[in-house]
Amino acid sequence: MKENSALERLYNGILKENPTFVLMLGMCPTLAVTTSAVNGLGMGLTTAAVLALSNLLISLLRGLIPDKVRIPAFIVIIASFVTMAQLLLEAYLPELNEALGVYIPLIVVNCIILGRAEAYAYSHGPVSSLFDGIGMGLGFTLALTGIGAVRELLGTGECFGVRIMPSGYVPVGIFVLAPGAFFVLAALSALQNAVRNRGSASAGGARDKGCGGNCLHCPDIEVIDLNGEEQD
Amino acid sequence: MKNKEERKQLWKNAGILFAITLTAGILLGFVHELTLEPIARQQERRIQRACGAVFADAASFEKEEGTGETPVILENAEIGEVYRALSVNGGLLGYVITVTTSEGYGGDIELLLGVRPDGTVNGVSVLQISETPGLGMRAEEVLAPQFAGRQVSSFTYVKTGAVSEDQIDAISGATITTSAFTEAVNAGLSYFDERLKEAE
Repeated sequence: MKENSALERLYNGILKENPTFVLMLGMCPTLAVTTSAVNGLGMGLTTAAVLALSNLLISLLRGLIPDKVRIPAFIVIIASFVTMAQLLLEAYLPELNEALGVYIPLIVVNCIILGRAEAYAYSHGPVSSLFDGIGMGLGFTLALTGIGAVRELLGTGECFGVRIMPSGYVPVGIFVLAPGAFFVLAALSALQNAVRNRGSASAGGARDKGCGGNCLHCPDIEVIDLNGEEQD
Repeated sequence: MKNKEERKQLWKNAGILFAITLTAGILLGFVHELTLEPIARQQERRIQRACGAVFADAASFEKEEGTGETPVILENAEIGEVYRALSVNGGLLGYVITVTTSEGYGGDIELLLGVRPDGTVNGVSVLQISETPGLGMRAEEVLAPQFAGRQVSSFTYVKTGAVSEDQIDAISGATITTSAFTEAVNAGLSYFDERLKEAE
């Protein structure tokens, strides 16, 4: 796949560098809102929309934004998109807005968005940045919906609000509580690591392991230390 | 010389950042203007729907003048807006009282209490709750229906099965929620006794 092409960016965001399962970014909303599949989906799509738009705009403005004030500029742009998203949700999807609560405004400090702005959009063209945002956003959505679906299924016996488990099934309440989020996230991460490692072993090398979950070992992107800014 | 150059750079950076924030502010203003009306409509619909849940036979709800602006604190709970439930021909069916308590296990519980003019509880519904899922979160399905149709001055909760009119079955494992919920209903009833009953 050609590097930085639209397709490569989508593949990168959804699978190779999935923000939740591989990069382990944005854990706070991941753990908090995934009490049901619908909540995960709503949170994921809202973040994806903000991420794609902020990536596009930052990439377009990258020649204009001076290096020294880039972080405040990014935050203003991201915060504006988040506020717009929140106003629109409040006006047209009030139920979802209520379910997601405080986590919508907190998208502003979601380190996936600031991370992609800094690591990708600020140094790449608008088209690949847009697709990078969409790819990362979809990867995040997929992960959140997956975690939400598993938690909802085990914790209430339903999936997307539809009863799946037989009526004899006693819901395991802990899965919709906070600890359940950790269990499910760990299990799904392990599962995808197992699949990934088997794939690369059969291909004859550990080279194609993505970045192995640690950005510091990744030679492709400029290493940035987000520890100072990551508030999520 | 270098100093001057640096200062120029500083002004330029500040200018660009200012331009970005200004543009963002203007755009936000537009979106805010655009969504102002739909948001107000949603709010209105939410209140009407919530009030309808405690007074199913009422045709409309009218806000009682002067309520909700300064919250009244009664028995650890806060009384907010009060609405009059009106029938089709405008007759008074009762009152809907907004009660907020912060005594819950996971943040504020906001509920609506429907009271008939004679003091009988017509219904209780939950506006906002963030208790433990599976335990306190069941307040709406377990606790709320128990109050309806009873005429007492205050409720107490029991864990061994309610026997008398003023007793409520607690949710097992969620005593804090049950206590907060019952107290909130009691606060609403006291408010009704003090401020609304004599108006009849």
